[in-house]
Amino acid sequence: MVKLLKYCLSLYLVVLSLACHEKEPELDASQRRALAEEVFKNGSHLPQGSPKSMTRIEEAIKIDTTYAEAIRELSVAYLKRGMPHKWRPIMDRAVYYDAKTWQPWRG
Amino acid sequence: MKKWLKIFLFSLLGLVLLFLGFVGYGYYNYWGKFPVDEQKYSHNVEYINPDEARLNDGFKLCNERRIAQYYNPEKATYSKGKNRLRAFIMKNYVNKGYQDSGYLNIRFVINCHGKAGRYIMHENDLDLNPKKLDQDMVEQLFQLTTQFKERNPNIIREEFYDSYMYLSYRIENGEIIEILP
Repeated sequence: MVKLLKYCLSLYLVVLSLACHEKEPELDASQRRALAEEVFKNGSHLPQGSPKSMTRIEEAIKIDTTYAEAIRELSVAYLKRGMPHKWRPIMDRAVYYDAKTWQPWRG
Repeated sequence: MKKWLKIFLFSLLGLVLLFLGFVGYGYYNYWGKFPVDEQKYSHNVEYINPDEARLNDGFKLCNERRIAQYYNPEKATYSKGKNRLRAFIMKNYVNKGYQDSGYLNIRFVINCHGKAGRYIMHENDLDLNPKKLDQDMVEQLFQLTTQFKERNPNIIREEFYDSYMYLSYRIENGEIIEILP
């Protein structure tokens, strides 16, 4: 019991240090885009429309919700597989964020 | 055991472990490290659930786990060509006073023997929003589409593969304007 009391403060410090979590620094727009591009391009070899590929693209879009290239890539898998009703709303989002590039593709 | 044999065996074991580590690292970087959102993407996006599909009874695939796309690398096509397909549809389709406009997409699987089955349909308006079309018209087009029994299966590395395929009908006021792809 005496020993337990002796180590009580040390134990408390250990628990406290584990509980402390350094807050991740906020990223600015260009850092977010760079990180999203890295996630997006790192998995470009994954088969289009596969669960791994779709999850990877969603992850990139989650980092930068305005990343039109990734949004467009997410939509393409549906169009090429005969599901234009799933393609359209996603492609519209890509056009919304980068009309200059993707409007001509969508029409 | 002789000393040189011991050295040789341990060296061999070391090399094998090194090789396995190298292969494992490569696999992890290429495939393993990418997570899957199982809730949202439990299958490839083109997956057709056999339980929800039509004309699936008795329809066999060569490999349920590896179904290619119709366009990759060889085109899985109707054996008599698209012009014959279009001509057959246009000759036999009858507009029974339908007024609907939209897209009817019929997706299915062509197996490695060139047989088609596992059909599913998507009905949309001309802006590609889901919309129920005239059911008599839809059924007529479905019946016509399923007439094409003989198709060319996909070929990958000189081997026949199962593949997904679809036909899209653009319809305006009950008339077929275009058949894609």
